[in-house]
Formats: sequence, structure tokens, C-alpha cells
Amino acid sequence: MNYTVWMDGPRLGGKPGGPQLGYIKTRPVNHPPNTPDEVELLRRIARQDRQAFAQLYDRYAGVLFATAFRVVNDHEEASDVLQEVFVQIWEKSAAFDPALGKPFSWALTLTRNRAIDRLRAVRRRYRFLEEITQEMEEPADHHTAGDELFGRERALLIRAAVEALPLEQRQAIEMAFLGGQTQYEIAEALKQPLGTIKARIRRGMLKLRDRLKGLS
Amino acid sequence: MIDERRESQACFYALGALPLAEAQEFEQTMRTDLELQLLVTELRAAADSLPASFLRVDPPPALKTKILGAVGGGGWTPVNIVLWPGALPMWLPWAVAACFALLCVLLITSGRSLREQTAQLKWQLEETTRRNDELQHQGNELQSTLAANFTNYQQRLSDLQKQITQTTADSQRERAARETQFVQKAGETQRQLTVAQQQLAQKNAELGRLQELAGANFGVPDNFTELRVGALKPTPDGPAKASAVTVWDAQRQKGILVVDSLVPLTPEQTYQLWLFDPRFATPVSGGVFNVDPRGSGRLQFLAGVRVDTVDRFAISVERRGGVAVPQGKVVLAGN
Repeated sequence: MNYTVWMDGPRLGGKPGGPQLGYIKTRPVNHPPNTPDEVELLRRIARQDRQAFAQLYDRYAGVLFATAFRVVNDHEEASDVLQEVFVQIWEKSAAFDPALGKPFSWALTLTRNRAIDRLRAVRRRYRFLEEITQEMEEPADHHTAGDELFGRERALLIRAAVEALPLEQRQAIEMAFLGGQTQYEIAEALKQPLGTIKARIRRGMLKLRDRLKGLS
Repeated sequence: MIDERRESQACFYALGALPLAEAQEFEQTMRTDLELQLLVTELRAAADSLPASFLRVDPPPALKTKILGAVGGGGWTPVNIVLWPGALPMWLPWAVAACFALLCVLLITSGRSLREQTAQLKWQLEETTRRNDELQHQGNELQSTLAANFTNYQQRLSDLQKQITQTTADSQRERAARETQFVQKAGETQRQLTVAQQQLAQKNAELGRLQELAGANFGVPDNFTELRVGALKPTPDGPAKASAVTVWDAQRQKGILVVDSLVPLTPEQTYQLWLFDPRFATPVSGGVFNVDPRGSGRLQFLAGVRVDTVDRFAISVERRGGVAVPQGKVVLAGN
């Protein structure tokens, strides 16, 4: 099995400025294809190639902006997050080692951490219900944030797999992933026993993993 | 097989929501558990796919220009360029291969050493287990001995208590007996004292008679101012029961001696009376005498020289006829 590692993982405990974790990864099932040109783009960016930087922006900006917006729920703040992330990519691309991970995973982690930091800075919490309500009002075939990166068909299937999760499982998963909240904070926010939250997240994640495996 | 707790930790870890301390512990476990690594990888891939389901929200069109302007503007510092494989020297792969071969040798050597250490540790573990068993056995034996000793000590303590009780009773009985003996002896002593007092009275009466006798002999019946009366007692060389009384008239320079319980002497021997006057360096002879078979005797004597003061009287055993100065054993003496 082909194992690779990237080091810029999510921050421990979701704390801003805290240590970041490394992951051991295999080739992801429904992950954006780790095409050589993405790695090549980063290499060129490391050599201050602005054209490569623009290409990478076109590829990632949609999904990263949607992610940031999902967290901060504000266009202006999401724009600030995206700008900070791409500046960081420009400045740190030289330090990126393709052997340690996928370019998209690295960029997604940077975005998520920046957005959560900003959310905490303004003392707000991730509001799952508002987001999900808006989402439910959209038609099923509406464009998703992953169209450019994953391809429209696959992005729709991923969306279907996520939306097939029970609402309480999806809520707990997103609060952990996008809200940067620990299991204790989620349990407190939802007024549920800790064991219930653990069970919801565990079942939801395993279910999602199995469904995404099926897509591949 | 991964248990539910680890599965749950893996989910939170993939979502970046595991608390710091728990995440560190989880990472340590994950380093040695390939199955757990695979699970985390799959869960992480699922988490990374979540943005694909989000509603499409396009960034502002001007943002791209703004970002490109920010990174392309003047004044930004060059970054460190990592040398990618294409730019690497040709000898580098060979060097890497050599390093790898060296590493393999080191690992093989290290593995052999580790196997030996493992065997040694296993042997030490067995030895320790054996010693532990022995110690356990010794502990059990000591416990049994302790229990037996405890029982013995209890028995001994009980015996000692009985002995103390018995000794106390004996002591009380002995004390009572001694008290009785003491009372009896006190009574006996009282009786002896009474007898002694009676004897003293008899002696006093005898003394009175002797004084009367002396008065009769010396013709001065009522004037005793010039008389010197001496009572002689046996010396260590004399018979224990012997006694003598002497009366000396200093004015008339003559006296009388009465002895009792002396040992009869051989014909070659004689008793001799001596008077001690401080004026003379040697005693003054008072004459010789013998006793009857009962040891009694009587002597009227005269001093050969003028004797004014008599400090002491003494009787010695001398050769027949007497001597000028005492030479034999002194058997009676007194003042």
C-alpha cells in the first residue's frame, strides 16, 4: 500500500495557534485526484511563478471559499480567509513536500484552521442549522462547491452520500470538522451526553467512509 | 481489530477535534498500529470530501486580482527553493542507495542484538519469576513459623503469668513464716535478755560479796576509795568461758584475785598475774598461781615495787616459778 504523510494537519483540540498534527494517508477514495500537475504547480509557485499560482487559485478557490464561508458565514470574512490562505500557499509552497501529503489536503487544512481561528476571534460559534436550512432549500441538482475539483457528477454523488446521513450525525460531524469544537464542547452545545455525541460521530463517519468507498 | 473507543478517537482525530492530550496518546498508538493508520487515512479522506457537498458560493471576482496583486507586489521576499529531484546531482541516488545499504546492515546488526537482548530479558524474566516463587514460598513458611511462634509465645506468656502468681503466693507465705519466726526469735531474745539481766544481778551480788570480803580482808570495810577493782576477760588465746576479778588496794599495796574456768596447767607451767602501771616500761608481777581441776583459783598478792596507778591487769601462762617480764600467752586481760 502506498502511504504518504502530510504534516500540516488540523490543530489539536481546534485551538488557534496550537500544534498541528500529521497524518498518514493512503490514496484517498474520493479525494481530488493527486495529479502531478498540482504538485508541479506548487513547485512552480515555489519558484515564484505567478501563472502557476493563478492556475492553482482557479482550481481550489471555489471549494476553499465555500468551506471558509461555511464556517464564518460571511462573504467578507470568507474572502479574507481565502486571501490569507493563498498568501500562505505562496510563501510556504517551497516548504511543501509532496511526499508528505496532497496539495489539496494541505490547502483545505490551512483554510479550515484560518476560518476557525477567525470564528473564535469574533467569539461566534459554527451555526449548523442555518447552513443546513439554506442547503435544503436548494434543488438537488444545484451546483456544488466541488464541481471544479471533483467533477460535477462525482461532487453530486458525494453530496448525496453526505446528505444521506441522519441529520443529528451530520450536525455533530460538521460541528467537529468546521466548528473546531471538541467532543465535550459539542455535547455541551447540543445538550446531549458525551457518549451520544461520540456514537453519532463514529457511526456517521464510518457510514460516510463506506459510501465514499462505494463511489470509487 | 479496532475497538469502538479507538474507532471513535480515530473519527475525532480525522476531523481535527480530538483534545490535545488524547490526540498525543492516540498518535503514539497509531504509530505501531497499521490497521489504525489505514482507518484514519480512510476517515481523513472522507472528511476531506465533505467540502464537495457544500453549497457553491463563488468568491468575489475581484478577489483573485487582489490576491495575485498581494503576492506579486514589490517588496516580497524570495522564498527558499526546495531542490526537486530533477535538479538533484547525478551521484545523489547512488549516495542514497549506499546509505540505504549501510542502514540495512545496521538494522540487521541491531536486530540481532535486539534478539539477543530479548532472549536475555526472557531468561531474566524467568529467573525473576522463579525467585518470586521462591520468595513467595519463603514468605508462606515465615508466616507459618510466625503463627507457630506466636502461639508458643502466648503459651509462654500464660505460663509466666502462672509462675508469677505462684511466686507471689510463695513469697507471701514465706514472708508470713519469717514474720512468725521473727516474733518467735524476738520472744527468745527477750527471754535471753531476762536471763542475762538475772545473771548480771547475780554478778552484781557477787561483786557486792567480793567487796564485802575485800573490806573484811583489808580491814577497811567502809572505805573503798583506794580500791581498784578489775574484771578480766578471756583473750583469743584464753578459754572462752574463763573469767577473773581482781581487787587492788593501792594504799596497802596488796590485792586479791579470783579466777574461774581456767584450764589446769602442767606441773612445769603456772599462771602469772601482771599489773600495768604507766610509770613502768614493763608490767609489774602480781605473783603466780594455779587453779584446781575445775579451773578456779584464788590469789592474794603483793607488788614487788610501789604501784600507784593500775591501768590494766593481765594473766599469762609462764614456766613454773614465774618470770620477770611476760613471755607466755596472755589468757585473760582487763581493767
